[in-house]
Amino acid sequence: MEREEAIRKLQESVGEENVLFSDVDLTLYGYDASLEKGRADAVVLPGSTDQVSLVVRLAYQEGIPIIARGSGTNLSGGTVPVRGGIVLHFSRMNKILEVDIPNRTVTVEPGVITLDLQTMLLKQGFLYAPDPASQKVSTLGGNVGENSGGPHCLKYGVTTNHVLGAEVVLYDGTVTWIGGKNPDNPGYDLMGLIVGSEGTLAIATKIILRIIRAPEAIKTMLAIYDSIEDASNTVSAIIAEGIVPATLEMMDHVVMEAVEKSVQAGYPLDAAAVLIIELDGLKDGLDRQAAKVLEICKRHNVREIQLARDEAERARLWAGRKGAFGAVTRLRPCYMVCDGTVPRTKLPEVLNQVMEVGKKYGLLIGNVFHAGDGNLHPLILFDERDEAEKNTAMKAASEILKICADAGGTISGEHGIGIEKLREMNFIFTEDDLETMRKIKRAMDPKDVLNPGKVIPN
Amino acid sequence: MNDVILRELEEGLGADNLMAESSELSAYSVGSVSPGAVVFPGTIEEVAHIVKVAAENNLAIVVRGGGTKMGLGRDPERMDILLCTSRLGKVTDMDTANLTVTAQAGMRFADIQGALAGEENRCYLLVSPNGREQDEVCFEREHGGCFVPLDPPFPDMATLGGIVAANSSGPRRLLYGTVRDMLLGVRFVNAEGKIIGVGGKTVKNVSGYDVSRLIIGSMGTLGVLCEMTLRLLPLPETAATTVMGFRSLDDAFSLVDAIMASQLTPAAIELFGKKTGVRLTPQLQEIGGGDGCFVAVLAEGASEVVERIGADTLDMGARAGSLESVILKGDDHLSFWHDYYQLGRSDHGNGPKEIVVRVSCPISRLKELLGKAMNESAALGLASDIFAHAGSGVGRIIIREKEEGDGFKERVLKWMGRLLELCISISGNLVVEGAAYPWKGELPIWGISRPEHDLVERIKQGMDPARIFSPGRYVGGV
Repeated sequence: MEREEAIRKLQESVGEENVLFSDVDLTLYGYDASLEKGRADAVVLPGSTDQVSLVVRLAYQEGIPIIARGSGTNLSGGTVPVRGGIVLHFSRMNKILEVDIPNRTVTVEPGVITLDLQTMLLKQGFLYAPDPASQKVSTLGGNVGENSGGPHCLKYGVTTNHVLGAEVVLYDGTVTWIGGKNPDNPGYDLMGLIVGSEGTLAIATKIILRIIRAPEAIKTMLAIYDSIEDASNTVSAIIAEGIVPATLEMMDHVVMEAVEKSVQAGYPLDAAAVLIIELDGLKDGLDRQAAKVLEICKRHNVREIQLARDEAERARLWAGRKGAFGAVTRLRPCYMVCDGTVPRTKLPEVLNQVMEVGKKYGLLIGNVFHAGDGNLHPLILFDERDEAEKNTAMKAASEILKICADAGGTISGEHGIGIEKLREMNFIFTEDDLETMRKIKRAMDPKDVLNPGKVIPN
Repeated sequence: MNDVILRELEEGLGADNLMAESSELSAYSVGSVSPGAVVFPGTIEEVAHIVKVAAENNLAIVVRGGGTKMGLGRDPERMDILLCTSRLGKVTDMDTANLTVTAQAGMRFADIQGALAGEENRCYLLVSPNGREQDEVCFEREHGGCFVPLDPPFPDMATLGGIVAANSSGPRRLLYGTVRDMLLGVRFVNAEGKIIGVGGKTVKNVSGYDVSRLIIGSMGTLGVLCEMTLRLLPLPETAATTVMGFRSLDDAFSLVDAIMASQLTPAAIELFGKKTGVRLTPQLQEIGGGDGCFVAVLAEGASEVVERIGADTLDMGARAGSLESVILKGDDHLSFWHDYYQLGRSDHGNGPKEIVVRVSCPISRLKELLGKAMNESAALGLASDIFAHAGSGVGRIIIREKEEGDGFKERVLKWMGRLLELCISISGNLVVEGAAYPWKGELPIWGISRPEHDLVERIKQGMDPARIFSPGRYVGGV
């Protein structure tokens, strides 16, 4: 089919105003938060499941790639249209369809912004737990596609632990429901398979999420260290003492310095690392637990501890962490995040190796990460306009992922494989393992129209 | 089975680990089907060898662990080889500092918990009340040990592989979740006899498709599960159980609703019938009224939390009209749960035959589902009992044959038909977990067919095109 005719068909399906194909639009939808770039043939803004189904059916019949996306905060190129095709942008499907308190669920359209749902629920005393740092702009459809994590996943689990069901559009435009409010249906856990499949197996058009009661009490602490090793050891010691905090976040001096310049969170500039420790639950016993955490910090040579006395202070302690990725661009114009994850006890060793890689290539690397679950985020700082430096940064990133894989970890904890990490998949999988994934892809998308070229290397 | 194939199997396993005498095989029947051979591999490589031989000769393989789930599902269409995991019983990596454990499929669940409990030999769950020394079990403890936050039925018999393959869960799913929240990685043997590894040792992992989750609950139809890595939690500081008796299901559920609406974080809220209640809690006098039922609220965690949950539950229970109550601690608490995990063990006991049906529905519809199911069974003259994870929307209904069981089968089929309709009307579903009757096949074993079943078929076709793994036993004859 000619491009003009395909566009006309798309316009018939979703309305003329909801098909974009100007040069500017195609450039805008050609990239995400990674370094990768591509160019779609058209961008479609569907308004309903039926419209999604029509568009996917057309794509299937004509063999056109189809890439579903939300706000494009993806960090691995998963939403970049590398083979052209149709970008489905869910900005118009952004309604919270139902809040069902008795059944502890909400039903949403994929374009709902994560934080909007969370803010609305919190007013009613409920929580949708996964809290990716991009929650202000990221969409729930995107979170499902990527199986997003976030600081509070240490205690509450990642996105997949909170997805109960979804209405999905399959490769040929068929609409079906998977899972639902019933907690246990016999049959394969297709929902578990689709979450984190980066839009390569199905496209969710309605999502049923689990919600929980907001905790009765929260204690937030900021612990400042003169050595990154002491901070890392504190993390392991807290867990070893039988405490599982809601979150355990770490930042090193590079990131602290950048943060201090941009949001003035009150971090001392000569410190080596800070930990944000948050405990939550029933108010009973929480003081005793906090005292125990303090004692553990002291045992590991903490320099100073700040305890938030109210919500405003809590927000201040968190401000630095939430603004960290943005703040580092004060140091250099671009950064590349390595999302490697290692067993927690390997953190001190792996962090050392990461810094060695930085030295070896003469690159500045900052660390801000989910220490509690061993999910590193070394930020390699560079300037994209300097082609040589960019290539060095990419080489360093790959090396860091190898270090994580060799330490018994994995190459992506929460950002996905997309296209950026395809080459590194063989660090952790054999060809037979990958072939298993290809079999699944072929079973669910035989003509390879759903986000082709992503997740599994050919 | 022909001698050439037997010799091939024997080459990889040794003669001691292969059984092919027909006199011995009948003990390994699944329903009415007897295997052609029983194999006992001791390594993952041996499993791969067996599957390769099976694939080359188009032989069907059914896997057996502790045998607690052999009554689940339809009779297999074919079962040339029964693969027993009893020799795959090792913990391969115990990393309590990172809160993970990796163990082989044939390891009994209670043994894993025992191994994790720590040097002090403290056990999270009491497994055999008779076989233990009083001072070995410590419940008011300092930290040190860990546990797998799962509590499937029959932990003394059930194996890790079976628990994952059947997606078993228990009362504590309310606080901790189910297998899909705990499983970090698996190694299995695929239909070509290749060893496949997915997932890993980290809680966060989005590298490639989440094949581990696909394997959960697949009932051995996609591969032979050999090794699993699970997430651990530190043992709770203490635990206690509040049990209360109520006049009616309505009263009992008003306690459940009150707890669910509160900020309390109990590990489990169980609701069970009068007969079960009287047996499990001799501390309570038999309560009045024919519809009486019990609620047990389990609290685990810091001592202050456990105390608060106990005290608040008593208050809420009193407002809901409880007739009597008791807080079980220490040995009483452990014994209660030990017995509770044996409920519904129909295929193993020597008592009268039973039919065990597991029902599930949106949380708020469970009262209606259980109430109507019991009324229907009473109207049909069937004796029934229930126990349910009341905060999770999951329950079990047990139908027993009475002495004067005339037309038992017809009445059960009629009841099952009504239960199925009821489930459809409230977006629920059911699974017949046990029914040791020749007419089991007439029951809706896997409940209501689901809209996504076509995808289930496609995945099966993609991963096991020759259908060598448990053919016909699972949902929709997969």
